[in-house]
Amino acid sequence: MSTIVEFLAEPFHFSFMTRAFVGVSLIAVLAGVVGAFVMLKGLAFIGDAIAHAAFGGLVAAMLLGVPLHLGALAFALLTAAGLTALSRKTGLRADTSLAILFTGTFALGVLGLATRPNFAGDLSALLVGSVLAIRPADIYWILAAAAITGLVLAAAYRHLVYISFDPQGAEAAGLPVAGLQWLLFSLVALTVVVSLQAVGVVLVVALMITPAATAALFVRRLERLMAVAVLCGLSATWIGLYASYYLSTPAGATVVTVATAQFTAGLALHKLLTRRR
Amino acid sequence: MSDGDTRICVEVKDLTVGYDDRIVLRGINWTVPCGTSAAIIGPNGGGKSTLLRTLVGRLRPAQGTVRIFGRPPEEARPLMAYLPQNEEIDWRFPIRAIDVVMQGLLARTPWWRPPGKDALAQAMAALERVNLADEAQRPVGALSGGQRQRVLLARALLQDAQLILLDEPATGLDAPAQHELLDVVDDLKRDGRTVIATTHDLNCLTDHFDTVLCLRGEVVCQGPPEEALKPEHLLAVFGKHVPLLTAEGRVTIFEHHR
Repeated sequence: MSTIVEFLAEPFHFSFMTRAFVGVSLIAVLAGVVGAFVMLKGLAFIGDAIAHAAFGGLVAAMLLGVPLHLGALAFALLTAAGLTALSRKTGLRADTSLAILFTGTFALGVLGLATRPNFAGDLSALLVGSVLAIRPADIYWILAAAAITGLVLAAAYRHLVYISFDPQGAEAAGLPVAGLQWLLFSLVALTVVVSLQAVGVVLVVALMITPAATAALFVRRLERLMAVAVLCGLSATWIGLYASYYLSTPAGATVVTVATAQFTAGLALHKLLTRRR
Repeated sequence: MSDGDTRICVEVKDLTVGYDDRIVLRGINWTVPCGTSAAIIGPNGGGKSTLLRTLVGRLRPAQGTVRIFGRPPEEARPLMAYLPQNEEIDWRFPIRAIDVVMQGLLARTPWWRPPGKDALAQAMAALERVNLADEAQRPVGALSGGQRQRVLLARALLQDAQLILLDEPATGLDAPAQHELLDVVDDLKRDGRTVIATTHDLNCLTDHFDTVLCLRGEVVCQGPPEEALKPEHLLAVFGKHVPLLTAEGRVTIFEHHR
């Protein structure tokens, strides 16, 4: 018995591991809630675009010596606004020009980063994140993002559901569809930015999409879907961080791998259950 | 009741409208008195959906004016409910029928006000009125096409919309489901509400409405169904392929030979 307790407690002897557990757990909650919308509305590409643009902003901030989160947030929110305008005009058919724009921003970011001495280290930290380097300030940013998201959803949850379900009906009834769409994209941007430090540009979308997709296999109500997505995200986080600690694997990638395994297992279970019915 | 109500609900004057690269409708003049129902018929591409989108303010006229209750469409919005074509709505979205009906409140209450205590009772009453009280807790995506339409009409009731616009509501519905929908439309009219629906084939809906507007890029005919739906008009609207409803409730293509 005591060995199990020791096994579970050991990582917490290190304050960086404690911060990793706290930080990524908070991200899992935030990403589970926002990710439900992202997954249901097929916005994964949007999240990816925002993440790449945020990378450019992060590097710009690094070079200018301003707080990194501010640079990333500025680029991410600008992107969210641009995407809102674009989606109103073309219904998001413009993925070619989008892809060019964001991979371009990303490439500029890489070029900017290359002017710095520790290029390879910085790049890999930003691409796949560095969970173990989460600082207290990062956790405050995540908490702030969670608080803002909570306030927005408390006020506009039903409106966001309406425009996600039936945007044309919502517009005819007088809802400010463009503003609400922008709000939703901004929540995605906020989630992406505060998660970058932990999981990096490449994996951040997985934290939003995968737990929500697993949840969607089993529940048919948005509120429950969010709750199950949060539980999946939290369990993937904890299993992943323990595995990463004891197996010395990269933390962010381990968490995402566990989340992916959850989804695969969920899919198999779902197939089994529906076949029996 | 609609009798004696002479207010004009929809007034379209000399309307020309289209998209960036092409004009779809030219020189449309049309009025719909409050408390009546109107069907817009015509072939695909004839401009039916374009007219509806102009009425809800999604498209702006290139020329001419549109007035809803005497106001520009954008200003008449809380009074309007629009049921887009079936595929425009994300039916896989995980919400229950009752949640969809409750959305009707969002149009007429400020965003900071949570739904009141009686909101749920009102939503249930609206579902009751469209004969779907038993389906309240089911995911809306699990309902049949006709039931989905009626859930959206219950939402319009909760919104207390005075003008209800339906884009191709009959598509994919069998004759019994079309009649269930018509019963609800009649019920809405009894409150003095105005109902406008488009359809690309002639079906139960068409001759059940108070007036018909036939569109093929321009107005081909308008008036009460028995006047508007004369063979020569239908020929002009649909070309030589005139869809007719048989006694069994099936739509057949009647090919007209001169």
